Amino acid sequence: MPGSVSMTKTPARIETHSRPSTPVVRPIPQADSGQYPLIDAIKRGETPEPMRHESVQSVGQILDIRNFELWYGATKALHGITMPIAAGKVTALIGPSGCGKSTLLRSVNRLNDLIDGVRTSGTIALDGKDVYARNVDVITLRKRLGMVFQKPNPFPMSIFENVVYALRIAGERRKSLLQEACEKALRQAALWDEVKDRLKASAMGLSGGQQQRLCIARAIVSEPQVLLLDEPCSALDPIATLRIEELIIEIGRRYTVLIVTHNMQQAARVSDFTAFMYLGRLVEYGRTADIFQLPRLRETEDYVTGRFG
Amino acid sequence: MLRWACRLSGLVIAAMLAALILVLANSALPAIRKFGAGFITSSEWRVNEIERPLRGPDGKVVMGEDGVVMEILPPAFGALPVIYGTAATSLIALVVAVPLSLGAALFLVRVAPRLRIAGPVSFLVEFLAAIPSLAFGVWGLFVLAPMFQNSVAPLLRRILEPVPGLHWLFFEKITVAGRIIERPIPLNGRDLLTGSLILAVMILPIITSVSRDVLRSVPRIQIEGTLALGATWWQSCVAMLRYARSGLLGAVLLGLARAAGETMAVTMVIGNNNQISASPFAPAQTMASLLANEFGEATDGMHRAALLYVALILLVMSLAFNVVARKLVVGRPSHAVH
Amino acid sequence: MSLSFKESRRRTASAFMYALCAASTLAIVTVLLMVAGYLAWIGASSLSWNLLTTVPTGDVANPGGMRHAIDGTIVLVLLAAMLGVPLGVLAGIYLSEYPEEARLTGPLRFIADVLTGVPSIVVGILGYELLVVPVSRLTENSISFSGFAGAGALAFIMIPIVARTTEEMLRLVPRSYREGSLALGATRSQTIFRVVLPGAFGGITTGIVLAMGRIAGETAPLLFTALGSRLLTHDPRQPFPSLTLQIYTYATGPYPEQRRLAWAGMLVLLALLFVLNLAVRIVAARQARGRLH
Repeated sequence: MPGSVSMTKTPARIETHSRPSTPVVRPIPQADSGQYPLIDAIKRGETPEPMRHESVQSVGQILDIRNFELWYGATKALHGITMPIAAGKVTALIGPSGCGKSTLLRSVNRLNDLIDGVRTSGTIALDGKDVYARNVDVITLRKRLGMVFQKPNPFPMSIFENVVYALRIAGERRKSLLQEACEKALRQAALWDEVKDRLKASAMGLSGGQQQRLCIARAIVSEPQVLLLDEPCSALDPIATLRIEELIIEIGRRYTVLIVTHNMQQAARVSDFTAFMYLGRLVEYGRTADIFQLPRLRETEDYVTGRFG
Repeated sequence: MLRWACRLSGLVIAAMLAALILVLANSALPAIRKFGAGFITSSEWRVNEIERPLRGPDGKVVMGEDGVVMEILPPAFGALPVIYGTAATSLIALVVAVPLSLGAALFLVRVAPRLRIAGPVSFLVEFLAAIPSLAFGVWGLFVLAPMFQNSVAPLLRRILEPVPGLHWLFFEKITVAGRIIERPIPLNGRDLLTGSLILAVMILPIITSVSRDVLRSVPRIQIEGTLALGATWWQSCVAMLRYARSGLLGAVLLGLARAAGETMAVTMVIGNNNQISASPFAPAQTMASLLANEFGEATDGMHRAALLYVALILLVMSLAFNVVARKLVVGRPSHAVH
Repeated sequence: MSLSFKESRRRTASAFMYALCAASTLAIVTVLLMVAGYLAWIGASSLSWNLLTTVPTGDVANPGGMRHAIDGTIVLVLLAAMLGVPLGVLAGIYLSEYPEEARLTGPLRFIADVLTGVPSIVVGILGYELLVVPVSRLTENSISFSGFAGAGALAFIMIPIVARTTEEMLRLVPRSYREGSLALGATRSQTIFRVVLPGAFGGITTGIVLAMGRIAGETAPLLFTALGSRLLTHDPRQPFPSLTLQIYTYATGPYPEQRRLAWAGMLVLLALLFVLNLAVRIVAARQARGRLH
């Protein structure tokens, strides 16, 4: 399929200006040489072995990222990332802007394919099959993964049509089935009561928080295996953020969720596992409770307590 | 000082529009008074008085005491044929040009940058827009019209004429000596269809380049949103077209405005005949081509006033198209239409 | 990976539409190359030095050249520019630099836009009513077609285009330039003349050159104003020749030799416009690059 992966794109170097998710080398003001051996090694350009807690290995995995690397043209954005993602749990990716967490997330559903000059190596296995394998159908892959973006992006159509979009493009025409799926997804996204009387109204008329919940409903309507959330609250006010967080906890009971967030409290509240990334490398990865209360690295401790980064 | 010079120049622009409307309306006044709104529904266009034998209801010449009784048809002016010609050519041109332009715009936005050919292709499209109307006229007259006359039209006739119900495409009814006879339309390549196709070629670049800019402004996150849900390339294109629909409608309207006002190229290939014929193979006339053909020779006062009336209708129509189009293509107001 | 029948049908449909989009692009490019190629091919075979240097002979078998028409177009475009450039640029400055008068500039901008969409034949008729008829009455001539009237009609087309490009180019000049200059105590006009206009000079020039190219290719506005002439004249008070008018007359006429001249004249005009477009684009691209570095 020649066209499935092409789209408007600006060259990668312009991308780095427009998206905060691509690597930008930033000095760490408080970083005291000698205090952070792992971070220092990373800053020297090395890829040291991350602190991976045993707890992350012991659970059933749905996604297995192994030695994954990614380049934007000549710039290497991800360095040897190896991390298993637990099935049925919420895993948060945290780290300072430009640490590659969004890039990693977008690699799972191969949305980075759309950017000119992107190359990858290593594997990301979904259910044991590498998503970057030659014979993988990208469209089928994306249907198995739901994604919610930083800014709510409802399509300019009715609320109903937004929710059932994934089913529509899969050719579903049965009205009753669509209605059923729409209601179920909206209920799961805790939006049903607010919009049930105006499903035919334009989705653009919803508030920001409602729009984002609509996008979540849209992402889960086809019951994806993994839900990818790319800083889903970064464009929302505190109250809307709180509702989305409650929703993520609720949804995390049914789905595997991988969430990128720049907000440490959010990661602590909603996730079961947390991975701390820095300059395109994994630094520490373990149970959220451990990462926030008993981190094994000084780096992680200082980052989650806001002392650096 | 500078402020006043600038303000004055700005007012000149306003004065230009005012002059356009007022001068045309004033000069057309005799015709407006005489024909009123009926002008646009009447299809008679007789520049000079015609004297001809009067015929009875049986079609026979009426004989009086001094021989044949003559009737005198006074000059008459009605704009329906040219309004029809303008509408028909513009619509056919849109039907041909819009799908091609949208396809090319999608290609330019979503494929060409990857292949690194967006620059050269865009340059060609924009150069096509800069080619004068006259060049298309010369090309249409010497290349397209002969091609239609010699190969395309005869071929279409061979294929379509035997088809039941398509007879009218190739025959016209005319009145000769009081009787209606049917005769084949001479296929000389200068007809409504050729005029429409030339117009289609001429509006391709404007629709393509405005649609390209409109599509380019669709937020990236909208496209990624559809792709992340598993849309195919085309399904995400459909979402993109839907997102940009009002801007795209504006692009189409800009094309329509240009088609409706286009003069030289159409004048050279449309056959210049003030008639309404159902067949696209019959010669026709548009408002603009009528003006180009007759205004220079219009010595009679009413004839000239009638032509100015046509010019006024053309002006108001293209102003209306432009106003609506520019309201729709938000953020791209500077695109020259003509 | 095997797909269901429905799924693979959707993939096929998408690939098909992809191919259609590519084919549309190809079709448009092909049409352009066909038009330009044909004009170049036939035109080149009739091109001669005489075309550029001699004037019509009156002999249809040996019609001479188009020197008069080339001169005529140059004079008409320059005359139109003398009127159109200052008015257009000043109006452009007004639209861009006096935001406090938005109640006036807003509608004016819209009017300028709408004016660019007025059919050129209508402009020609306005020129006749405004610049030919009254002059005829004044001078008691029968009909006073003139180069001035033609240039006036062309200026009418030029002014809104120049105004809008000037405005857009001025808007590209960063706000900080203006504020910097005003903060140093410069007056508004000093700021505009010394800082803003020089900053946008390249872009404005490009716009003017393109607008001149545009009016050089116009025919319809000249039909009832300049009228055309077969004489080599530089007196704009007289009916005036232009390349486009001469091409139109020859192309629609019955004589094969004159038709060949029409092709050749068209080629000259197109070559001129092509070089103009390309040059302007290269210069603009170079300037844009210079600004980035």
